[in-house]
Amino acid sequence: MKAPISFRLNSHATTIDVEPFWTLQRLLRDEMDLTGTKEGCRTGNCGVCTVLLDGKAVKSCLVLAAQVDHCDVLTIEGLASGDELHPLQRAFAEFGAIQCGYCSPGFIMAAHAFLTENPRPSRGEIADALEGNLCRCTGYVKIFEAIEAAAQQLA
Amino acid sequence: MATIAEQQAIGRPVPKPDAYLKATGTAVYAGDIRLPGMLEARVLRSPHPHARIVSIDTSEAEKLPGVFAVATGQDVSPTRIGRFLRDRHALAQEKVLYVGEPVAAVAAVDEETAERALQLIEVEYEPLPAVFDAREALAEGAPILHPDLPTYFDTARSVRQGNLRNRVVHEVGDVDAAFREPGLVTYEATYHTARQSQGFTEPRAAVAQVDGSGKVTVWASVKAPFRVRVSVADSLGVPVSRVRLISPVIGGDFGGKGASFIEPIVAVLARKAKRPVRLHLSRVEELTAMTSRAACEIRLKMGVRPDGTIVAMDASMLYNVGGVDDSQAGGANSATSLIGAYRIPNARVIAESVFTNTSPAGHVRAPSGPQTAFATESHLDHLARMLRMDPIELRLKNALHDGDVVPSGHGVLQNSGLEDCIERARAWMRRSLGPKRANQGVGLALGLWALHPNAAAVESAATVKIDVDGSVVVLSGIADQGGGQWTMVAQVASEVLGVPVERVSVVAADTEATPPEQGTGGSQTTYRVGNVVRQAAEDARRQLIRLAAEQLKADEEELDVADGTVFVVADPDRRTSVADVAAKAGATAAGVIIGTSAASREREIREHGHDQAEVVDAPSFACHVAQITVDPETGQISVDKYYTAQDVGRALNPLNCKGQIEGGVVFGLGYALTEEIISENGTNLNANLWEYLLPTAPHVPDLTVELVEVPSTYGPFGAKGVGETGCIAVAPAIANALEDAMGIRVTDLPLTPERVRQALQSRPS
Repeated sequence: MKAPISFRLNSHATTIDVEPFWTLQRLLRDEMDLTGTKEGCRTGNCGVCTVLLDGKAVKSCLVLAAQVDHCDVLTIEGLASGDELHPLQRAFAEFGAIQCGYCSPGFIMAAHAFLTENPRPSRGEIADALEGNLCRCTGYVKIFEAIEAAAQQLA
Repeated sequence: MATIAEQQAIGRPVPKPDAYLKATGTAVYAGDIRLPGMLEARVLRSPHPHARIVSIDTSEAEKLPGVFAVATGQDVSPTRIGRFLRDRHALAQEKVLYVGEPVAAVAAVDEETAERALQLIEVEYEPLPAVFDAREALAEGAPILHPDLPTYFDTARSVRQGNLRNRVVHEVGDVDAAFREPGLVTYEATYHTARQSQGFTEPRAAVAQVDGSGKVTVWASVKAPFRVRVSVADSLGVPVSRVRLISPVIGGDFGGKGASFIEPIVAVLARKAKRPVRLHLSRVEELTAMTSRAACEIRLKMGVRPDGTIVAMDASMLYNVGGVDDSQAGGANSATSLIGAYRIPNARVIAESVFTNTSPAGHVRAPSGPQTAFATESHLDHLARMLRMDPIELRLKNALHDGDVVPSGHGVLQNSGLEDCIERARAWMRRSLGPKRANQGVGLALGLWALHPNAAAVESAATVKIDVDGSVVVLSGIADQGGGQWTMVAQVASEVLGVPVERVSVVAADTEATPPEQGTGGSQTTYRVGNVVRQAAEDARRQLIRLAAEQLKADEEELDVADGTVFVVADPDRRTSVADVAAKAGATAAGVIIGTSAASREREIREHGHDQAEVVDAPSFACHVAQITVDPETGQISVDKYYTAQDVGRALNPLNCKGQIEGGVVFGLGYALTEEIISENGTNLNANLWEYLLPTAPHVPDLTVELVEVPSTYGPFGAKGVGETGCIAVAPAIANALEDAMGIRVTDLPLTPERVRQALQSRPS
């Protein structure tokens, strides 16, 4: 049985009917066509579906849609300010942190939440913070470099 | 082309144009596609490793509200499909050969309905005796998986009988006599490697749509659309021209997405349901029923003179390729890659691959490379220890040089960067490795790829159009699975045409809109596709210059193009824009500017004046060094520093080259340390990402990548292949460091704490 929820999605007030078994991932991808949030395992292990829930990075495959009622959700589609890319988005593209790109939205969102908490992290701290996000293409090195560059710019 | 002025796009770290789409979540992958009326598909898979299908009753599933189609093996053509050997059907007919083989599929309004429908399908199986071990599968009396094997279509015409998928014997010199040489130091060991998943983050996805005329369009995460459309057409029983296959942005491939598993299934369902159908595989399906790097046993014996000269090698390899095979493991390439980068005058390598009732083997980054390098590079290092010789000197003494015939016998090596890589690694070791601490060790290994003549791969073509605003459109059949292939195409066209790279767009990987192309892979894309794009762009450039010469009343030889402007070199004020020339071309008899090129062997021979097939002109060599620390209590290996020097010929895009190599090294670290698909009675037990352990960010060592540039003769701008080589030599570098650190030689992968600890405990004290 569907029931309505209301939440802020990428700064817009949103009301939608959801099934109790839908995950936030399902809601975003299949019901709202926000496919920047990816699907890789549905078990919380790969991190490609990472979004921000009230400012904290969560794996949207592990959050039920109904749980975001009255919450604030930020997805990759809401990160840029108008046409101006977020420094993390630009750095990921420019530093070669993106190959196939399937993990990129999740990494960028996880890094965004992390940099808010820790604006000047060491490389070791970055690596530890991103342990829940898998990348098979880059070997992570250029992801670290991109996050370091974005951190400098944001500071 | 001598007239190209400054290099504008080549050799620069050009960001990938598609990276901006990916960074904003707007890149569309196959699983992101939603069409009006689209249904979701789910697949019913075999729970048995080997069974006869007695009957399938789909009537209850069909009655479930919301179900639009249920398909079984009866809905697919009897024509078998497969990448090299056509050994299967998209949905099983008569028998299942591995746990997870597709038996039926459902298309329904949503995934929950599709899953409920799967539970309503009644399949009666008659279980058959199953065999899981490659050696047991070859024994007399073993259950035979493919009774009709000799009748299957096979692109390689391999030797096959019983459960033997392929057998190759590579022999040079007189091996038996060579081993009788007095004073020879011999060493024999057996190596075992594990099954490795490609581990791409995007599970396979496909969407199919059938129009009113029966024409089928499939969008799928495949890197070889021209090959996969054949499997779709054969499964549907229609000509290939009735299937259009489009590869959108792909979320990683690493060899796995050149195969066809799910695309025929969605096409069959879409035809039956008369609605578009999407299938997005689960991670469990990926790790249960999809392909992995074949597990391998390698018995290796080498004979070496006291001065380090390798005299003889005698080896046999046994690959377990599962119930159906997409790997061609155990082919000629794997036999000769065991000989590696060395001159070995007497060598015998027997490579065999065997069907068993386990999940299929397939291509995984550098097929057969990591298995063979693990054996040969481990073996040589141990021999160096036996001879009390520097392992680098032992390798240099036996390394292939320019002018040597490569181990396959199919070409003469030229443009080798091998010694440069080794010397750079040696310099790094001197510079960067401090005094050895307790439980610390250093290991080195060589990696190689593409020791074959590049002209062997010829299916490629390109079209280059200059638009009326001076921008350029390149049509290429090549897919980009993340390696940056489309960026390379844009850079090459930009360079030749003197148009900024941002003004080049690439339309790619669509079997109707783009020219034919064999597909991404084998570290051959830059070499092959880069060349045809270069040639097509040169064709367009000639047309552009001819038209500009008329406009400027100059001779064609006087002109050059840069930054979107055609100008007289001696008098740059006499100029016109590419846009103006292109716009006016449309109004003249010249029509539009369209350059074309197709690669063919004849063309290469004509242009270069000899048969390129005799020359291995773009060998890809690397030297890897690992410094590790071992926890003597737990057996845990941590990698402190890692270095690799790799010859890329010419780095068309240094950022992408380094990214490929860094990614390759970490891929190899997974193979070396943690990755292993474990199965019991044919069921993969760790089919999830918390037990199948891919490397994560904290696992990355202090990693240094150096690019060596020894240009190829025929690759575009001197480029060589890059993608495969980075992962090949990692496991032996770590294993060699382990022997250096702890005095133990571990010959089985992965080098898990359990395995290392066991070796430490059984070490003679």
